[in-house]
Amino acid sequence: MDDRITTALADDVVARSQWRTVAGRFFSHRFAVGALLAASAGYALTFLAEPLTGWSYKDLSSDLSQGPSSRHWFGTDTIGHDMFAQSMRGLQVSIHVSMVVAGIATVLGTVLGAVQGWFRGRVDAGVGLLVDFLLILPLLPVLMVLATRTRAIGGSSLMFVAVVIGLFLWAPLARVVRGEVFSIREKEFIEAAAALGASNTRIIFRHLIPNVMSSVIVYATLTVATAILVETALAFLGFGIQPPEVSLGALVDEGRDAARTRWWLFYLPGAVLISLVLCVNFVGDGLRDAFDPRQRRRR
Amino acid sequence: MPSARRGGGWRRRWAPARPQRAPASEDLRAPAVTEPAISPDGPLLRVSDLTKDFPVTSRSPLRRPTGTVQAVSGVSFHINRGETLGLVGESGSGKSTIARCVLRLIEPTSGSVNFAGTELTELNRKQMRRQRRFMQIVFQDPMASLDPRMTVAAIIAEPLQIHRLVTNAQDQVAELLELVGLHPQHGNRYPHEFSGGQRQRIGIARALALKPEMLILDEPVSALDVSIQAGVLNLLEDLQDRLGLTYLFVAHDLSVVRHISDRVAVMYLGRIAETGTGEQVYTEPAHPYTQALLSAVPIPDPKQERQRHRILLHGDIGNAADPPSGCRFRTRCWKAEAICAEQQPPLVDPGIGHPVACHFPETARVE
Repeated sequence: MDDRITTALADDVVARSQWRTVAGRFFSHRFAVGALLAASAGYALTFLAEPLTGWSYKDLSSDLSQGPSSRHWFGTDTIGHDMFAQSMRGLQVSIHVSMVVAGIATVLGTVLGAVQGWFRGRVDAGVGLLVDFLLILPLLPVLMVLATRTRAIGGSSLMFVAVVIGLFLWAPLARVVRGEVFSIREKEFIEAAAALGASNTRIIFRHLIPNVMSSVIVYATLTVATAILVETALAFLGFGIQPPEVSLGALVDEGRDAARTRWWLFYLPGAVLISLVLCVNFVGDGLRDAFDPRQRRRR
Repeated sequence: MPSARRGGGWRRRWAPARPQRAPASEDLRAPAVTEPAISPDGPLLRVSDLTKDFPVTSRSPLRRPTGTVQAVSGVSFHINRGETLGLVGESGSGKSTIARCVLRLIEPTSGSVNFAGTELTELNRKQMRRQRRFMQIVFQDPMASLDPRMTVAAIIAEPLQIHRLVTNAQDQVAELLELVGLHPQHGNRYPHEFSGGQRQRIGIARALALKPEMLILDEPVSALDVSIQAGVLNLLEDLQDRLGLTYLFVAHDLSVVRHISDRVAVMYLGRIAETGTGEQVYTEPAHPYTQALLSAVPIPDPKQERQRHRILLHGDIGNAADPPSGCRFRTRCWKAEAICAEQQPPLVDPGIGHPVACHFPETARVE
């Protein structure tokens, strides 16, 4: 090879960051990309539902308990709600809630886990105690009690439910991050940063956290799926989000009694829910594969 | 290599490193303690009686302390301004521990580390962080010592950001890259895109960003291919001449140390066995360990190599958790007598011109 040519070319090439490599690998994962597209399309559809069908989730039509038709795509319930509009609203709420939950849980879990792993000793023991406590806590009963006790101060509002669930879901991620930080903190580039005079904050946020991001992103995606299921379970049990606001869990709960006679009330919102959780999980799997350093086949 | 235009740049900016320090430390709002006393004649670094014990804990979940490993036991040495001290010894002799103790990357158990008049062991965390500007380290494994998630430019600019010395990051980084013989355009790449030698140059550029007075080189070339080593060594010598740097060069490769060092200290199991100028230690070694070490250096001529006199040592370097009494080398020494097990030989000059820690020092000519 002619050395000059390769050098000249190389100088113009902008670096291929590891993020780009990962993105490349993710986008070659057809299943994951399909799931991401489907979830995005579903989210877009929640905003288009009303203009498309003419029904809002609050509307009560005179068509009571009708099966799916071109007028009501998912049928109607006993009091005349358009079930498609209701399902789409529920989907939207579930996505929003799960995003907030995953955001809170990810930030808390990453920072606290990194702090544990970096400082070790008492800090580790203290936060670790909290992590253990949250992990052994039976989540649903506790959330149900919280929901009933706090109804007066907005306990049934969307954001409140999301924040509360988020405060309970960060513990597993903190454990993962703590473990990874234990291994990264022994690497020489961390020692190098300390030798340069870097502060603890700088080492944690500039060196430790960026190097655990691959696990964090994968875990965050899976937390989204968990959050959807927790919120659904709460709504199914009659806690959390209250009417007139809808969520997929509440819809499935209401349609449960009619599963045999008016199947659309139960199965259609249920199918939407399952599709969403599946899509999120597929995206998570795709991300995990993309970050896996052993996958060197495709760059 | 730096172009002519850039070449003038570093000379202007780099040569007057000392006078620039006073205003720069004001940027850091540093108290006077970080300002090394101006003592042009005294040594830049003086280490006295440095000891480092590592606790050994039991394997049970209780992790009870069961003893200590004394990695460094009572080591004293000094380095003059602009000089290179080579620290040689086999694995486990405590070389790297000394390097890290000097920078307080690990806390010394006892002893004193005096850098340009400042007693480093007495500084608190904050004062020590400011002090780090004047002494930097280059690590052995250039892949492990560069953050894989940062671009080269970000890596080199980091020390400037930490010490708030950034004026024009892009120019500063470009200048540093040229100083170590890399292309400024390489700044937006990631460490994994470089060869070992190039990565080590990046590590050197990062260490030089703060215009330190002293570099601690912890086996800077032992992870590199032999063909690359020479280039990096030449760069280090070149930088020392240009910037007036002082080096503590830690290595196990005798020929590399001889090439770069003004003075050499030979370590064995946490203690200095012999120290002197490169000439003294390499041609007139008086400590049996130094003699054995030098006799192991291969000669590139096969005829001479076959006739070479070798001193074969038996056994392993001793256990630092349970070191031999008296002279630590006695278990492998062919001269060992009763006194060697009873008394630790002091590191003194037995009348040969350089200090040796042996009860029976005897100069041997080595060609």
